[in-house]
Amino acid sequence: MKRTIEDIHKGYSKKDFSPSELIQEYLSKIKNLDTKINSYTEVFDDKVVKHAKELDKILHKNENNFLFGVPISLKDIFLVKDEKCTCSSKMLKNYVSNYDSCVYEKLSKRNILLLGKNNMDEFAMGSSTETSFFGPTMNPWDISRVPGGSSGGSAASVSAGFSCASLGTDTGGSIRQPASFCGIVGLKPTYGRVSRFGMIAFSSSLDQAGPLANSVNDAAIILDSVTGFDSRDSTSLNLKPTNSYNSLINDTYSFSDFTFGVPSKLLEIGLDDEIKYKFDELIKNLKKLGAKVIDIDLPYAKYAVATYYIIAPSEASSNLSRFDGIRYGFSEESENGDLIESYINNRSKGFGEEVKRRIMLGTYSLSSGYYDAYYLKAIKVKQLISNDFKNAFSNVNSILTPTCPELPFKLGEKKNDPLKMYLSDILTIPANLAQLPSISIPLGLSNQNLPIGIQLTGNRLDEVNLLKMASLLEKEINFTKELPKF
Amino acid sequence: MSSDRELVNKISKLSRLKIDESDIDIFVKNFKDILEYIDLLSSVDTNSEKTQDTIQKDYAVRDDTTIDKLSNDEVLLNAPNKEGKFFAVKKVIESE
Repeated sequence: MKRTIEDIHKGYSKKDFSPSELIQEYLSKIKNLDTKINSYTEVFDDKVVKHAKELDKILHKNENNFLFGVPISLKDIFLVKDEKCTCSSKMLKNYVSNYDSCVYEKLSKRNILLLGKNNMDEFAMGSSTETSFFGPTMNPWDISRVPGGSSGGSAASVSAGFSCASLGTDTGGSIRQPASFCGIVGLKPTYGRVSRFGMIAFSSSLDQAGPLANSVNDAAIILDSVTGFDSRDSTSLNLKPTNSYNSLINDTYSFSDFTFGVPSKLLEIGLDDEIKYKFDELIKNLKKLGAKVIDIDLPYAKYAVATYYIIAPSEASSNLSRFDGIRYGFSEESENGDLIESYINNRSKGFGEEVKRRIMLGTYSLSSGYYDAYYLKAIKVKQLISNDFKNAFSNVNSILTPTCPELPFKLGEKKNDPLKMYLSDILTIPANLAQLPSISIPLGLSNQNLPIGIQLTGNRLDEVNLLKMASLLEKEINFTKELPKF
Repeated sequence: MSSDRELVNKISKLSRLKIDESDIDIFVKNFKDILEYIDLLSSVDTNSEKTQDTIQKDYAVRDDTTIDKLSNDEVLLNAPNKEGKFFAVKKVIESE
């Protein structure tokens, strides 16, 4: 059975188990079963056992801290001082963090139990976790299929019960798509809500950290603990931490309080039949439950993937120029050649194929003679996409779509066709471009027992209402509490 | 195809990257497919759009004061080659 943060909190209050007992259970599960899933790049066995023993002694003092003693993992993109941070790349396979990320700093103050670091697509570039230097992660619902990406290790570890929750990052869907593929909840907050300090940069204007969790309430608990202004990130919004969990459990609300928008034209892109059927059924149900569902138009959203694949690689080509093997990163000793040649050698051997492709796409978009036609154009289209959403939100409280147009695909199926891989992010990318909060929750299982997810996108900074709508849907859908068998 | 290959070679040089000769054909094909796809944007009329700065008004500014930084040792923690308190690099200026 799934175990939520709320379950653990209750378990501690009733003295059903101690932090030490709980952490042993998670560690032995990881040890025995993660060989099949490969969701971790590193497990902090000794350190977390020691920490749990310390928490055993102060267990009685933590009634109001829901995260106390909760076993959590982090995508291997967040720095934790004195621990490796690899971004699942050969480039950083020996990189040791010399400071803490803001996200971890905040979580550690809550006395979480940090289990380890999760596998991911190299430098968060991918939708399948197949580009990891440490090998792919498998989907716990069917180990011949991908868990999604780039936060695939995070999603798989939560789904398999190898961690109670994980923090991931979402640049074009990298929290929501793997959450959907693995049958869990994944939330991308409004851009600027969560500090990017100590989170290795991919596309700085789009990257946003958020929770992958077993329930909407759990996602809210984590969101509340990692949000809030941080002076070390220049795009951190000058706002207090959210207080969404409190609103979720104490406010009175129902479906009749909300209007859902469905961009039916955008959904003509071709949805998998089962996904379409389940989604249409849900819409019918929503109306019966008293919600208002209206058709909306996002005329520029169809350009989101093209826009994204100009902006994100452009920023990546700049951000990843720091990896030269001089200050840190993969470096090969060679007597021959000059400094430039050693940069080329270190970068060519340290980065995988997809990372190289994206750096080069970005370099191309920013290069002399192409800048106006590509980068500048993309920035303008991004603005048009944002305007689409602004218009829509004058009539609706959230926008409802499936999270992905397709079911989890087989390992290797798209590996040699990057464009096909990119196009599967059509429904998640728009929220990143428009900087909006967006959540994926499980909708059900396909005939082959594969998870299907739905996505709700909310208005800027309106995480509270977004979570309320997600919570109502979660109760109505009542997705299985059973863990996948593999 | 040869001009596509030249383009990929030029861009890889600018990116300080090298694509293995054995992978170059498939790389060029994929690169070209993606460029053709993103060309979709050329059909969008953006003449009336200004490039807005993405700075939100809720971003904060901080005082221009010294803050705690990493120590010299911490900065050098991951350096593959170092000499004393410095990063070591290959010679970039030839002596006369």
